[in-house]
Amino acid sequence: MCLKSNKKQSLEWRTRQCLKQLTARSDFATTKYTLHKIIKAKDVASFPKIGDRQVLYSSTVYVKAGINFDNFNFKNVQIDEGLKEITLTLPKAQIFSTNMPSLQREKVYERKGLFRKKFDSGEIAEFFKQGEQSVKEEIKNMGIIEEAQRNAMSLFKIALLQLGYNVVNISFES
Amino acid sequence: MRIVIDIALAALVLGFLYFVGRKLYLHILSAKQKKLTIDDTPSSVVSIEKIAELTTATYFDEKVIVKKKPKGIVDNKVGEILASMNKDGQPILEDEICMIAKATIRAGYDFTELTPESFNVRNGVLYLRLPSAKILDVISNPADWEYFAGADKWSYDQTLQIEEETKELFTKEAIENGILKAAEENGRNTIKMIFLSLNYKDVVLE
Repeated sequence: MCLKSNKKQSLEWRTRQCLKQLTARSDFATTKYTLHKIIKAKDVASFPKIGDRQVLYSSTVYVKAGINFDNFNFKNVQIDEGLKEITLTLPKAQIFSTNMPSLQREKVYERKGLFRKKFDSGEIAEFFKQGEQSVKEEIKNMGIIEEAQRNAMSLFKIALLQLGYNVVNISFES
Repeated sequence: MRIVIDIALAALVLGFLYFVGRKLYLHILSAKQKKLTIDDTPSSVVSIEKIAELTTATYFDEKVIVKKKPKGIVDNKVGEILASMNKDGQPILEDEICMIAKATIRAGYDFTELTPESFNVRNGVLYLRLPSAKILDVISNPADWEYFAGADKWSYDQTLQIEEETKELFTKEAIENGILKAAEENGRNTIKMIFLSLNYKDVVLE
């Protein structure tokens, strides 16, 4: 349901809240990748336009991955009290978030022909959408899932050894 | 008299020609308009960090944002003087932008704040001192923004500023709507379940 906008802000800054949702989650992030992405585009003029336009932005992207415990069955944990041995099978790691903060998008270079307009905000925003999509495709092959599982295993092992277990066996669902 | 009529006629013809010419130019321009695409540049990995963050609540929000600024021609001292003559102090000419924005705010616990002293086991009962839940991520990516109208009159630097202000607003409202409280409640349940499954008689979260 949309709420009425604040009258005090009506001329300078109006926002209309349309949807909000608060949900419970159990995402245990174990790995954070920081990526650098160059966004560059060139608009070569064709008749009746005269002059090219070029722009280059630099941006930072943060990707977090780990184990989601929402559907984890805690009864699956096997414990041998005598041997102080624990065996657990964790869910497969997944990517939780890809974050491309606006503060870390920086214009490095821009050039335009004499008779051309600069790229407007809508055009640059479209370039960043394409850049974000490209990063999302690339991270699938960067080994982040494997890294998240390795880190989860090491974190759980350290914690469980500290809690008094002598043998810790951890595996992941396929 | 004849000269005046001739000049008026010439002005009319020129005006008509300008109008038709401009329409034709814009038509050719729009017909030739192709979608601009970025060059294919691979991302480089700057760093890989080991973290331990348990997100226990997420808040999703969507807003329609309308913002105005003085038009370029009155974005100067003269424009300010003219605006001050207005009853409400608004610029006499304005550019309006309308955007639709989405954001996801993630809150929970950063377990790297835990120390060995945070854990204490007495008679099979685990006493765990948890840090406070906090905002872990505010995510509002380019794909979460739709520049609905008026984007051609704004530079990207100007709209980035709007994006940043909106993100602050999203965060403020997420906190006002109880994300941190929800994160603590959900987090306590999850953490208790995890440790109870490790065979503790009970788990006391402090």
